[in-house]
Order: sequence, then structure tokens, then C-alpha cells
Amino acid sequence: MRGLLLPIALLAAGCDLSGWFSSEPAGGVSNNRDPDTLVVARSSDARELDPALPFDNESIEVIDQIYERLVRWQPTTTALEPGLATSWEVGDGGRLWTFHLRPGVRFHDGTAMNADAVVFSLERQRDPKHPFHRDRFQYWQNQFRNIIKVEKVDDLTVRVAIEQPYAPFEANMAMFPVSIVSPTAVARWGDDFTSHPSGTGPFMLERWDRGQRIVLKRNDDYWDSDHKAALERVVFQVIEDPRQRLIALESGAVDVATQILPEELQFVDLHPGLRLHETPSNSVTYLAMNNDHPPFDDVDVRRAVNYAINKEPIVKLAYQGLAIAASGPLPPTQWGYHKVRAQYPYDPARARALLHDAQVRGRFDPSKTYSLYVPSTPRPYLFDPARVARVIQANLAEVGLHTELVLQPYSQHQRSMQRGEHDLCLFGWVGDNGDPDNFLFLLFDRDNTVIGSAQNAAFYRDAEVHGLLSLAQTSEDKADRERLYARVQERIAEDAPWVPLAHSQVAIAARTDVGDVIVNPNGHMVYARARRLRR
Amino acid sequence: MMRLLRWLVAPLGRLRLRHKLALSLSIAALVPVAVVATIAGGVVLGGLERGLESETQRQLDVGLNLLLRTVERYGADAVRVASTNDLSRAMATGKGAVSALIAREAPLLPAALVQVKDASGQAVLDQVIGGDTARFEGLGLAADAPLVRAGQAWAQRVNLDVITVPTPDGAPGEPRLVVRAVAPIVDESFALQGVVVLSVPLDADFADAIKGALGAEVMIAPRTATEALSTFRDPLGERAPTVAIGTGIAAQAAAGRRVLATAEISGGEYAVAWTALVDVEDHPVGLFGVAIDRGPVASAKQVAFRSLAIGGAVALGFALALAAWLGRRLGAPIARLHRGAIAVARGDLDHAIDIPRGDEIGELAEAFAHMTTTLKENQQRLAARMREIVALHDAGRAVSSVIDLDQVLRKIVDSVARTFDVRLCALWVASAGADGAITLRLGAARSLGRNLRTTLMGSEGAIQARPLLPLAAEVAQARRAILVPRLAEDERRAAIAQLAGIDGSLLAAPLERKGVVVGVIVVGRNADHRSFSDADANLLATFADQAAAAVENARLYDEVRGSSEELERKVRLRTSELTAMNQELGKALADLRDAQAQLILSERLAGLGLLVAGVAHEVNSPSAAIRGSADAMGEVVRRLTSHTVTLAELQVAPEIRRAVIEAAEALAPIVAQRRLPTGAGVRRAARELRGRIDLEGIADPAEIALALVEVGAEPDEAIALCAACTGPARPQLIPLAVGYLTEAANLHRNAHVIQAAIRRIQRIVGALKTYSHLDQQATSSQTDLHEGIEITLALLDYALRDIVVTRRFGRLPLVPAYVDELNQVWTNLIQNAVQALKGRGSIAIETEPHGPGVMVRIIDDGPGIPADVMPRIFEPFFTTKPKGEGTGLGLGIVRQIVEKHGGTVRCESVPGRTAFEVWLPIGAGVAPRAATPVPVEADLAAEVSS
Repeated sequence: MRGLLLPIALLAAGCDLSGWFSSEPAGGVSNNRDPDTLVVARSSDARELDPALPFDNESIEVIDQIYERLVRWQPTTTALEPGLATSWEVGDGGRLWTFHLRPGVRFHDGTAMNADAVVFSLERQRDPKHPFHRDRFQYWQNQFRNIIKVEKVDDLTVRVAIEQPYAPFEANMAMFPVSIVSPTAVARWGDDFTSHPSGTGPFMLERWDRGQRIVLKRNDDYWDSDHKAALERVVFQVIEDPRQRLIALESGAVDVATQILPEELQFVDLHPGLRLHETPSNSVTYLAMNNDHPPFDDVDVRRAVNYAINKEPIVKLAYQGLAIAASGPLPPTQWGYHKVRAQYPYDPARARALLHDAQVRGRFDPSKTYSLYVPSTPRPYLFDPARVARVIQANLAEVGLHTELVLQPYSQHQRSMQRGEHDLCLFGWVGDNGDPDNFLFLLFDRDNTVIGSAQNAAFYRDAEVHGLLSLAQTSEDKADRERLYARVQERIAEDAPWVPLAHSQVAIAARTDVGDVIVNPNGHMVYARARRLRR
Repeated sequence: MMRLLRWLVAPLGRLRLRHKLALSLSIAALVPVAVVATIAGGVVLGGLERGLESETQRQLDVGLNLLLRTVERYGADAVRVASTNDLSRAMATGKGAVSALIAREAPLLPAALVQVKDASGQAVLDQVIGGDTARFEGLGLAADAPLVRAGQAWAQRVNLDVITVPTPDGAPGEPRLVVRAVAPIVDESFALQGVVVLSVPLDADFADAIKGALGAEVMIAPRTATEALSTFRDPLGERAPTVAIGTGIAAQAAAGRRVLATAEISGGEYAVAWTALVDVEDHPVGLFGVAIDRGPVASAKQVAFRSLAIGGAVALGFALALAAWLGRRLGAPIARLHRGAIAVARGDLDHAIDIPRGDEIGELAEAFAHMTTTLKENQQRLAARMREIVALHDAGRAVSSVIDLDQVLRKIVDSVARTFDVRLCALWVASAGADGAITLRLGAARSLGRNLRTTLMGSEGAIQARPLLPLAAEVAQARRAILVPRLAEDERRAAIAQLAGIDGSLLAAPLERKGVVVGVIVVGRNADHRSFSDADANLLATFADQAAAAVENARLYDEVRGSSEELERKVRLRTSELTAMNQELGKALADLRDAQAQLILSERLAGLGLLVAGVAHEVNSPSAAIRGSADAMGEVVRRLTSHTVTLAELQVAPEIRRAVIEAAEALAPIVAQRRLPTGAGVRRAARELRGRIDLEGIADPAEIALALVEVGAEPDEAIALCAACTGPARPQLIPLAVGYLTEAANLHRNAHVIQAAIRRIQRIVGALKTYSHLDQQATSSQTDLHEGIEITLALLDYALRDIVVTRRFGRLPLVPAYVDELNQVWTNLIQNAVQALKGRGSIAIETEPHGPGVMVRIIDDGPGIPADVMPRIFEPFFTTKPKGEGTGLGLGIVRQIVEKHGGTVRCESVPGRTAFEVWLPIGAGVAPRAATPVPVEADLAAEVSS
């Protein structure tokens, strides 16, 4: 008769049985997705996953997850910390950098990360005779051309010799092109390595449906056991249409959407299930005045232009609030940023007065029309170039400086700029190594005014600036460098070769159940930190 | 606890077993039913609830998106109005122009309060467009409102806001939710001219717009409100009063959770979901909710409950029926046991209890049977004793009923002889002389003759008995009985007895009357008979006394007669009970037969299942062959077509082309019949052929000759084909003709394979049909045994793959039989053999006429049946196969079926040869007809698989 007890107990429990079959009500839209997978909607797919190749942001974002460098940035700042190298020192008067590698690190394909791998990763880009060198490795020519030789000292020590002392070298070693790649994988895949990447990062490539999606899965053997990725997978999904990206986000089909249309930011802002994550990007948008073209060789004319432009409607209307007005080339988040004395508030009357003086001095001809070169394609730092250009045009017309807009596709626009065809040029820069030199030297040093490859769109040549920048490059003391850069910024503000317009912000829309959304100054999420909030 | 349980359970002990069983089974059935019903209810209702829940959530999501899209659109509208350059120009002109412009834009704007302010914040226009002004009362923004300030700093912004508009009498009003969109008015150079502000209350009218696109009721409330504005209306279409928001909902929603609840709204039950509305700073400003009528779910629930109730009732009914059936099933043997016990109590010890052994009741029945057997033995012993007593009584009566001494003596001898069942009985009469010496005279004797048939009486008996006189004298002398249980142990007496023809045991007793020996009675038995015991001696002594005191027997007679009448009565009673018992037994036997028939049927179905699996397997390989050939044919046809095309493109006269094709076509079916030549002979034949055909001008004559030989063409045929290729294009024609012939022959060969495979499938299907006798009635018919055996072999072919089956079929007459049942016999016996062989070995099937019937032997060369198993192989459910391989019914059923046909089955087995012999009689009046063996296409498998 004891057998009767169990059924009776079950009967008694029966009243609560329904509870067994219903799960907790979901916090948001139910979409049957794996909560350990984060889906990111982007406007386009990566092109190359070989770190030596890409120029596009989408590729770099994925490369950042798969590979690591000897040095890395702290997640939210431009400050450096050890990466694959545990420590490093510089000798021979700043010409010889010795890196001590982290032991026990392996690439995704199992190959050991050691001095050979580091030498291979750098030399294949530097040495044209290297069996795996390709002419397409262009990035090297910009920031790394000062490297003479990369040598193995022992299994865990690498020595990099550079042409002359160069302080920003340290920060350069945190950039994506010098990612350490698995030599075995490169040897195995050859040119197809770009489709079969193998690094040491917290994520590894699981699948790549070119043009559609990239699936990264967690590297469970990641060396930094404290910072293994919280999520099992990250999927980069291509959804070209920005509105469709937002719809996918609303519906829960994706967790994160990048490049939201400015006019839709309000919707995200007001949506209780979505959150907008805004981060200042490490960028600057500027109007460069060609110092080689009169009247912009005259500092008063340049100052007049600075007074004439009202930056407020630009950041409010053209950036929909996703930017702050710039007062100098360095974003406030960049170390080395210095608030300069010479400020140019919106003051059309003063502008007019300055121009009038110039006209009197015969340096300015108000009857002439000057060319304003503008890219017709949006850039990360310039969401709506044409609109910004029209504000500038209107502002300048207001003070008597007449312009015509020359709208060209970006590559054409860049070529025109490098040839110095413009009088005025709307341009921008996204810092790529977190070093002030990356802005100041590249954009203001006279060395970068070579026609055809100039980065200094103002063709600004100032001996003092050049001296200060060169000094800062060879200095090994950061405080020293900060002082030098502050002086450079003062000097540039006085000379006013640009109208610094805006520092744009990166806005990423995410569902509220995505936690620890950290956006680095490159505008990329630190996916290894992201996690799913369970409510 | 245990005591309580015991108290609860105690009354159950007093119930009848059947009722107990029914009760326990009902509980056992009811509880799972209840559990299942509860679980199913949980699943179904939980599913409904979840469905509704997710629908509500979905509606909430969609509704929220609609609301926010609408809000976003207000922002866009504000921006659009503000950024028309017309507006900045109108601002310069004056208020009238602005008003006219807004009126012009009105159709493109939502119903809203439109405010236009100049750069300093001074109102230019405050105008309600598209609606009831009361709705927008008090929504306007002051010049110093933060939103206006933001607009003056070029910000384009939409926000949600809670405002409180004081009532006209000055009391603080209800909080209201408002959407406000602001956009700066700029001129061509982006100089600020003013701002446009659109204000729209999030009220019931706004909710209506969302409901229209949503399909659920919509509720909107400011953050602090306890009641929400909603789209609910009463039956007359009047807007229903506000809807109460449950306590805690606002707090939970503000914490970022969506809240799901059930609420009673305007008389109906609704599933509601709430979420917070936040402003751009993410501060919760209001609540947005949707409500979905639970009516359909409630009725669905009702349906579910009803279905569950009906299902439960049906299940309970079924459980009770099962309980009743099981109760009866278990109760019946117990009742039989009970009847048996009563029968035994009544004294019927022959009552057999028919309960199958195996379970506890069976064991009880067995013990019971053992008990009755013991009882019966005791009773038989008692009955024997009683018979003796009766005989004694009879003897006494007989003795006392006559006066004549001889008659008395004869009667005594007869009685004794009958009673003691002896070989010899003799009575001496003693007469005492005057000297006291006793003289013995043989009074009467009775002896069974040597052939045990004749009884020697009178003088012959006397002669037989006479040698025993010394023994009688000894007894008379000693005046006591002598018992010799085994003469073999007493040489002296054995010698005496030998003369009287006795070799077993002897018993002698004096007849005494008042201390005087009046006679001696001697009885003897042979060794093949039971020897005398002390009881016999006592009995004989008594008997002797009786005989001696004939007179006094009258009293004894009366006594004995009384008891004899009682005995007779008992015997009669038992006889009638026995008759009744017999009838019951007959009925039980009939039941048993029915059960057996049932068993046979189920075994046949099981066998059929096995066969079907085999058949599926069988049909597969021809199907594969067909598929393969069909695939190949496609390729062949393609090549054939290509040859035809090349031929057509060749510059030859049409009649030559026709002749070539006809020659190849005619030859193709002929060569297709032949085996493809292989081996070294091919090259030799090709060389010879090359010598005989004129292959002038052909690019590779050796190749052509080889192709002709390989396709199977005879030299003459090859020559004829080449001869058909005439004209100037002959060198091109010949290779084409040979190619054409090769492919056409391939086509024919593939077709043959397909035909053979189809024939095989047809044969299997036909066999299956015949086997199951789907098209015949299960009546006895004149049957060709060979046909049945062949069909069975065909169906078991898959199992016989590695077994050599030899048939030795004699000329058999037709046999009256139930065909499908006999097929079952062959199936079981052949399968048995296959399993004994473990799939490898040989089976011989022999048939021959045998006496008035036919004999079928199925012989395998397997390991044989062990001697200890042999006697049991035909027992039902006896099996030596592992569980699952055999039911144990197979051979039992074989015997059933064979015996039903009036035949016999037996088995002989030694290692290496196990033979089952089935003999079946030929029915009377059936004319023997030669049976034709079914032709077996043994080579077909090879043909198909090639």
C-alpha cells in the first residue's frame, strides 16, 4: 500500500505542475537566438582579414578581434599597455627597440607565438624579397617605413631597428598592420590567408560568407584567462540599409547596429528596449586652407575664415548632435590635447573686418570665387559632407568670401587634395595609433606637403612646428613630448591653417540586454568584454 | 502515520479478492490518468497562456515601435516645416505670412499644436491644426522652456514630457503625456530665425491611431498616474472611462522591465502588458500598455478542460474495464481452485484443476493437485480395506445364510479367494478323534489355473491344494496362524508350496470355536502378486473366527448390512458428481482448443512480418539493378544518338545509310543474347576476323575487329555488317556501324537485365500473394505441396543466401489441406533449420508418397538437437533460442497444424543431421494427380547482379 503514496503526492503536486512547463517571461522580444551569440549589424562586409591588407573600417574591426599586437591600447583610452610583449626597452639613442614576448601564447591554429612569428609578421611586410611579401601591403609605407630590420634575439626576444629615434613607434606597434600572424597559416594558405586568418586574439574565425556575414567564435585557449570573451560567438552581419539595420535591432534579430541614421537616433533614444552608446571618436574634421593658394597664404584671411564659420549649426544639424565643435586638431580624448589660447568664436563682423583689411592690403579679392573641395561620399568623421559644405559656403558668403563646391567621390577628392588642387578643402582624419604625432606630424609637418602624396592638406610649412614635431618624435619622455605638442598646438592655432570643425562621435545602438558595451576610440566595440544581461 | 494508513487499509482486507483487485487496479489506473491529465492540462493550458503572453508581448513591441515611429515622425515633421526656406522668409514678412504658410502645410502635418517662435523666443504663432482645440489646451511651450532653448541652439529634438495643466479654477490638473518636437528655423546661411514646436498629447485619440494599426487595445498613462487613457469603448461606442493600472506596475516598468498581467477591464478579462515610456535622458515619463481579450483563450481553456475531462473519463472507464477483465482473469483460476477445494471436500478426489503452471496460483494448484493425489491414495487404500470388509461381510452373510456345510465351506473358500485375491485357497475341516488327535479333511479348495483363466474347483482344486496338508496340520497343531510373506526365504515351506503351484506368499489360519480347532484355511499367492501382510493375517483370522462361528454371524450380519447401505448411497452420489465434472472438463477442453487456434494465428502473423522484411530486402536488389541499368541506358542512348547524328552528317546515299542502320539493328538483339566473350580468345578471334574482312582504308582496322569480337558478333555477321557499308565513305561508315551495333547491343542487354529484375520482383510479389492466400478462403482444398514449399523457399530466399538448398521431390498426389496453414508449417520448419545452421550449411527437402499419404522431410546438417531438449521441442512456448528470436510456438504450431490435417510430425536428430518428418494423409476419394514442381530461376540472381 506504500505504492499509493507516490501517486497521491503527485496529484497534490499537480496543481503546480503548470509551472514546470513555462519558462520565465523573456525580457525582450523573443527571437530564439542563442544568448551567447552577439549579432552585430554593419553596413558592409570586411574585405580582407590579413592585417597587412585592409584600409576599410569593417575589416579592421574584425582584425582587432582575431589578432593582437606586441602593444595594445587600454580598452577605452589611447594609453598603451603590454600586449603580446610583456615589456620592452629602447636603446641605441632611440633606434633599437627590444621586445620581450609573452611565453606560452599560441595562435588559433596551434602554432606557438614566438620571436620567429613576430619577425615573420613584420618582415613579410618590410622586406620586398620576403617570400610572402606582396606589393599590396601598402599600409607599411605610411607609418612603418622607418623600420630597418626586425631580428630574433632568442625565442622570446625580438629586436626592431628603426632609422632614427621615433617616439610614436611605440604606439605604432599597437596598430592593426603589425598584428602578429601565424607563420604556419600564412605558409599554408598563401594569398588566401586573408580568408583563413589565424591570430592570438580572443576570437577566431569560424565562418565567413563573403558579403554576408562573419562568424567569430570564442578562443577558449586565450592566453589572458582573465579576459576571455564572455560571449561564445560574435556575428558581423551585413545589412546595407541603415533603416533596415534599425528594424533588425528593434525586432531583436541583431543585438548591435552600427551607423544609425542621425534622424533615427531619437527613436533609439526614446526606445526603452534600445540604448545608444556614444563615444568620442579619435577623429577631427577640418576645413583646410591651401597655404600655397592666395589669399589663404595670408594669416589674417585664414583667421577671418575661422571667425566666419558657425560650427554650432554644423554639429547640431549636419551631425544631428553626434559631434562636438572642434577648437584644434586633437580630440579632447587624445593624450597631448591642449586647450589653446587663440580661440576663434563665431564672429562674422570680425571676419568681415579682417577680410576688408586684407582686401585693402591687396591680399584678398572678394570678386573672385574660390574652390571648396568636398568629398561626395560620407566618411566616419563627416556624415553629411555636402550639408556641412553648404553651411560653410553660406557662412563664408555672409562675410564676402565666395566659394564654389567641388564635390567628388572620396578617392578622387583625396587625389585632388594630395595634388593641392584646392583652395579650401573639407577633410578629416581618424587617428590610428593613439599618438598625438599621428595627428600633428601627419597633418601639419612640412614633410607631408609633397605634391601627390601630401597628407598636410593646408600645405602648411612652418619651421618651428617642424622642429618641435621632430624633437617630440625623438624624445622618450612622455611629459616632455606633451609640452612639445602643447607648443605645436598653440603655434598652429595662431597660424590658423585650418578651421577645425568637429570631433565626431561614434554612436552604436544596442539592445538593453547587451551589457558592458565598451566602444574604443576607433569606434569599435570591445567585443571580448560584451556580455548578455539576463533579467 | 503508519497507524493511520493501517487503519485506512484495514477494511480493504475484508473485501473479496476480485474486489480488492478491482479497487487496486482502479487506483493504479486512475492515478496515472489523473497525473497525465494534470500534466497535459499544464502543457495545454501553459501553452495557451504562453501563446497569449508572447502575443501580448509582441503587440507591446509592435505598439511601442508604432508609437515611437509616430513620435519620430513628429520630429521629422517639425524639421521639415522649419527647414522650408519659405518659413524663414515668412518670418521676415510677419505673423500673417507665417500663419498662412502653416495653414498651407497643415494637411501634411499631424493634428498638433504648432508654435512658431522667433529667434528671441517670442511667439509668432500658436495654432492648433487638425483637431479639437480642447485637446491641445495648455500644451504650449513658454519662450524660456528648455526645449525652446535647445531649438535656438540649432538642436532638432523630439521628446516625451509630462505636464500638469491647472484647471480653470486654479486647482492642479491631471498629469498629461505630451510629445514635443522642436526644430530650428534657419535661413539659407543657417542663421537662426526661430523655432517650430509641435505638441501632441499622448491621449486616447493618439492611442486610437496606434490601435488602428495594431489590433489590440492600447493604454497610455503618465508616469505618476494610477489610471490610463485607453482605446476601450463601451458597447455604444462611447469612450470608456480610464483603466486602472495595477499597483506596482509603474514601478516595475520604470525599472526597465515589461510587466505582464491579467486585468478586468470594462467587464472583460484582458491580458495586459506594460512598458515604460522614457524621455531622451532615459527617465521614465509614462507607461504604454496593450490589452488583448482573454475571451478566446478562456473558451479554448474550456475546450481543453472538456477534452481532458472526456479523455480522463474514457481512460478511467478503460481502466475499470481492464480492472474487471484482469479481476476475472485472475479470479477465474482462483474460483477453479475454490471449486476444486469444494470438490475435494465433497470427496471428489478426481477433480482436475485446469490452471496453467507458471504463476503463484499455478503453483498453488499444483500443490493442491499433489494433496488430492495423496488423499486419493489414502482413500484408495481405505476403499480396499473397506472392500475387504464388505467382502467379509458378504462372506459372513453368505456363510450364515446357508446351513449346508459344504456349501458353507465352498462359500468360505470362494469368499476368501475373492476377498484376498489369491492363487489358491483351501479349507481343511478338523475333526478331533477321541484321543484328541486332530484329523484334517480338505473341505473345499479353489485355485486359479496356470493360464490364470480357469478356476479349478472341486476335485481339481483339491488336487492342487493337497500338498499343503502338512502346513494345515502344523497350524491345527499350533492353533495359531502362520504367515510366510516371502516363500523364497523359507525353503521348507517353499518346497511344500511349490507342489501346490504357489511361489509367492502363504497364509494359514486355524478356525477355532471356543478353543477347539474346527478347521484350517490356507491361502497362497504367487510372486507376481502382493505378498500377505499382517493385516491379511488378522483379516483371515477374523474370517476364520467368522467361519467358525457361523451361527453368531447373524448379529454381525445385521450390523454390516446397515453400514453397507450407507456406503451404497455415497457411491451413487459421487457417481453423479463425477458426471457433472466430466461435462465441465469437456467445456474446458473446447476453450483450450480456441486458445490454441488464436496462438496459431498470432504466430502466423509474426512469421508474415519476418517474411515481409525479407521481401523488402529481396525487392531491393532487382530495384538497384533496374536503376543501374536505367542509368546506363541513358548513357548508351546518348552515345547511340551521337552515332546516329554522325551517320546522318556523313556524305552518303540515304539507301546506304539505311542499309547500315538496318544491318546493325538486326544484329544487335542477336549478339545481346550472347555471353560477352572474354579472355585471350578475344584477341585471337579479332586477328582472324581482321584477315577475313576487307578493312581497307580504315584508320585502325585492329580496333574495329576487336570491337566486333567484343560485342559478340560471329565472323559471318561481322562480315555482313561491313558488307552493308558500301560506297566511297566506307572507311568512315564501318567504325560508325560497329559503334552503332555496340550501343544497340548494350541497349538490349540493359533491357534484358531490367526485364529479368522485373520478373524477379513479380515472382516475389506473386509468391507473397500466394503465400498469404489473400485471394483464397481458408478452406481445405486439394493442394500441390511442392508449390507451397517453393513459395516458402522463395520468400525465405534472403535467409537462405549462404545455404545450399537441395530438393528431392517425388511424384506426389494432391493433398487436401489448408494451404496457408501448411505454408506456415514449411516456414517454421525451414526457419528452424536456418537458425540451427546459423545461416550457413545445407538444407535438404525430400518429398515422397508414403503409405496412404505423403511424407515431407526437412533435413539440415546443423549441430542437432540435444537429447535432453528433444522430448520437449513440440511443447508450446518451449524454446532454446535467445529471447526475441523465437516465440517457442513454432514447432508446437507445426504439430497443431499437422495433426489438424490428420498427419504426424516427428523429429530425428543427431549432430550433422536433423530431420523433421511431416506425414500428411491423402483424403479419401481424391484422385492422385502429378504435382509439377515450380521452376526456380536460380540463375536469375547472378543475372540481375551482373
